[in-house]
Amino acid sequence: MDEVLVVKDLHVHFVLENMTVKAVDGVSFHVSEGEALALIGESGSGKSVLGMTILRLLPENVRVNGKILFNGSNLLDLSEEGLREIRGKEIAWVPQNPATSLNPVMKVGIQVAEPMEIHLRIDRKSAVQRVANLLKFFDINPPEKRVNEYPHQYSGGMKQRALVAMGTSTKPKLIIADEPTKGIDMTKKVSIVELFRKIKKNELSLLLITHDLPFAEKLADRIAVMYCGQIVEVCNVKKFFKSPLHPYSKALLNSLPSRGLKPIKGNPPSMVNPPKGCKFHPRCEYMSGRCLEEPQMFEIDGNLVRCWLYD
Amino acid sequence: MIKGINLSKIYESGFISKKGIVAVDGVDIEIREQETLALVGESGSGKSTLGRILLLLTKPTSGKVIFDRVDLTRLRNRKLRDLRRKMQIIPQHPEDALDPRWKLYDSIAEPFRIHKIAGKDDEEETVHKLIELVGLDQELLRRYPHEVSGGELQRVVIARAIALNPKFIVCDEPTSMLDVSVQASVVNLLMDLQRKLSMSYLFITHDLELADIVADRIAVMYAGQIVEEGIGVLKDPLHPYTQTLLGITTPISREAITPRGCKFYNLCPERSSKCLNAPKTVEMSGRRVKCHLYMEH
Repeated sequence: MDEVLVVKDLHVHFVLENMTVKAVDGVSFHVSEGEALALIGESGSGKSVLGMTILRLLPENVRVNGKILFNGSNLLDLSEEGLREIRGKEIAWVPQNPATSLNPVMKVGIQVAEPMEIHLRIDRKSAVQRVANLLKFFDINPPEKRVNEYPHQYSGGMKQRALVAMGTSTKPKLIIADEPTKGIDMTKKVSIVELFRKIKKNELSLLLITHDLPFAEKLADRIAVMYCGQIVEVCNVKKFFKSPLHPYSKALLNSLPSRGLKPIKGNPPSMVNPPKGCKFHPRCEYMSGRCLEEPQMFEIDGNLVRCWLYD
Repeated sequence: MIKGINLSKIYESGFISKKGIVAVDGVDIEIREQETLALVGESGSGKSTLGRILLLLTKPTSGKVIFDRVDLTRLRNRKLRDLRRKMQIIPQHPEDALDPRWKLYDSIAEPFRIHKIAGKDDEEETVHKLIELVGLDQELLRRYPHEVSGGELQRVVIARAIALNPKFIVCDEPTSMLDVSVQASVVNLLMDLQRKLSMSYLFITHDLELADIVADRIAVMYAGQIVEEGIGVLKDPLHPYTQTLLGITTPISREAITPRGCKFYNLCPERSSKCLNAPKTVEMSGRRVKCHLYMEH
């Protein structure tokens, strides 16, 4: 399988007046063609920042180092114009909050049609025509009527689907979805899982940023676990939910209601002054003296883990 | 402990031709002493409205709320206010429940000031005890809501809710915006406090697995009605709606129109012509189910 997206040793630092927040601290991973990779971790672990860095959606004052290779070319080297050819066309972004991501005073049909007008150079009339087909595909009925409605006439789930329709309209190679299930109830989650399964069939690659573990289990091929700006484990999905490698992953799974609702002891680390060595060591059950040194990534049967236990 | 009898809430809209939206539709509900009743259902099913009605934060259109043998719906505001000490709410969004311009200390101390309970020294001591009880650092009290994390904020709201030793708390999706690991610690805290302070909870959630862990009994709500209630509802569901919720069966349609008879008619895999009449709630071995399948005909 070809690698669509390769991230190499990425650092993203927010430089403030008297401190530096290391939101992403030396992250490497890849997404292959037709694959779904789920990036999981607690809020504040740097997941969303990582997603936004890939599309260069962060403000100018952020210091970014490393490489983000998309189909071989480094996105960090591209000019703003060059990037525009990729953003929305090759890589689509499905934002976290459907309620605030649509323009309230524009008809949904026109908003969903916009990427097609710009990237596929179709005139508005035929673009809106295509939108109707898309809405139908994503179960927004009746599509002819819905095209001419405004966002407030849509339910939360429908807005989410309209945003996914917008993302997929230009037939991108990669979709980055940021917390697509946040604040959505059980029954609607089922329909969002179905929705992503539907688009996965079209040989798209998916990068799912989420802390919803059951959702990741249903959709992803591989799981990457982020903790305090670093990836601590990359693992095949079946193996991950059966026997995860990293102590943090184990603790995270044990905090699920279905697995006993056991909290992880201690507090999440500070991104300004992270703990020395392994960043999880103050909360880790398996802590030993060695953990004050920074562990490297170890490879175990094709899975990666950043923990001295596997040396 | 607290009992709702035949509660309904109809929201009316429109000026000339009035349209009514039935949020809660003839619900009977009871929460016993030191018990947790989990109320589960989709968004829009009326869970939160029902929770607010039990606290009289929303006035029911009809029905009674009996708390400590008193009918709350017939009380005057001042009397009700006194009783409010005994009943609290923990909302879904803690950031909306705290004044952004107040230090957290003042938010936790507010109940004492409103009910004119403690003097200044007493107040300080009690606030410090409370913050310890919910597992937070004293230092946090000097901060503002935007300076602490979502999990910490929810603990502050919990501290305020238990400040006046309530007997009954409505927990309205207290963890739906939190991470799994933070959720685990907040839920554990709530269960701990319940034991220590012998309180009753109405725990509103759409997370069935979570409901199964925290609750003694579970009530399933659909379109404003409780369709099934009892012990072990999620292990052995009787109502067709509960079964679809658990993914055992799939609804036969996508469009959830609510007809005159059984509200679940349009989606129900087991519907029959009987279901065009509204079903009654029947009780069988401790379980209450609102479905024609279990009615004697």
